[in-house]
Amino acid sequence: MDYEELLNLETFSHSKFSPCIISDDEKIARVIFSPKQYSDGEIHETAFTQIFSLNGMSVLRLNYSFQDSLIKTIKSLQKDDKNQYAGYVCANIEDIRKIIIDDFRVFYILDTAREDRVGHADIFSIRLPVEMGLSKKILTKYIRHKIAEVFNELTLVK
Amino acid sequence: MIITTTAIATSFLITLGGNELISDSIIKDTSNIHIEKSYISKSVSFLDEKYKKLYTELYSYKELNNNWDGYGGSRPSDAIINTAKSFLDILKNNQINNPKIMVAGDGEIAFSWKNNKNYIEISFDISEHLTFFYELDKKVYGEEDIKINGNIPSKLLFSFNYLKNQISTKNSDISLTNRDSKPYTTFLT
Repeated sequence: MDYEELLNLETFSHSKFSPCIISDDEKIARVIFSPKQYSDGEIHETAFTQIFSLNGMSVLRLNYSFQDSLIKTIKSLQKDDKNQYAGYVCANIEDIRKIIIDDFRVFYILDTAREDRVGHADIFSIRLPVEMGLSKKILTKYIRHKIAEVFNELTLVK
Repeated sequence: MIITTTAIATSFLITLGGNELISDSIIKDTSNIHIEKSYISKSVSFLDEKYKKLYTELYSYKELNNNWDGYGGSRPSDAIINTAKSFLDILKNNQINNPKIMVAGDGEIAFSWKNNKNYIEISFDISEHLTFFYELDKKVYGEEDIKINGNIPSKLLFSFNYLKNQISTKNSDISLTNRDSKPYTTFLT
């Protein structure tokens, strides 16, 4: 899919369980499962490496059954005692959509609601047609830094 | 006792976050910059403590289990941990201010420094190699998969000096210049 087609995916729902498409004034949360992913009250850039995977990076919409979805997410991912739920970090949808390099948006966000978690969504990275004179590897790390900047509200388990 | 130094880049500690200590201890005159000896020993000891914590954190990555991050993450290999350790030694020996240390679910280890909108990141995902990029005053530069040879790559060193000077110039009581550094525009164009 080309750039315009990818952005067009945001304009319709991708699940029969979806409450609605995702609007700019919403907030989303990424659940954190290790204290290794933050320090000094800030989430680490490396916590967002998964955003470059084909499946995107799972997040939860704060406006739609968030607490219930959070509990279910923790239950499903914290199943073998080898990780530790640490909290979650929030970002504004608008801020994510405003991450732009050379006039191109870097991420798109789809409402991928699930039957048990209607507020589920995924963030995907867009392969940019420009490179800013950087190699793909460095551009990826730079973009990871940019997404970490907008996830700036960290809520930790007491 | 006061000693004189011209090697500002090193004796100024290249500290990115300790400007309050610098302003207390540096005396300016018309020809030289003097640094109190007690300041140097205190600062080195302070930095040693910070680095001790970094080494502890780095070695703790050996204990990570599979799926440590809840999303299928794997622990860094011993080779990557050793590579990061070797470059941490170089940073420490050059008295670069302690970075933030991070680990990714794909086993990458990274160090970073931040000051307002300026950012430097070094990452390790290939044995004995590093990748770095920086964003300084909205200009981005990076180099990938550089073989570690015991030195800090010149443009990376430039970025440390740049960030250091960004902090030091905020304090109007002191005016420091790094005589060894080249004009920044040279690096940024």
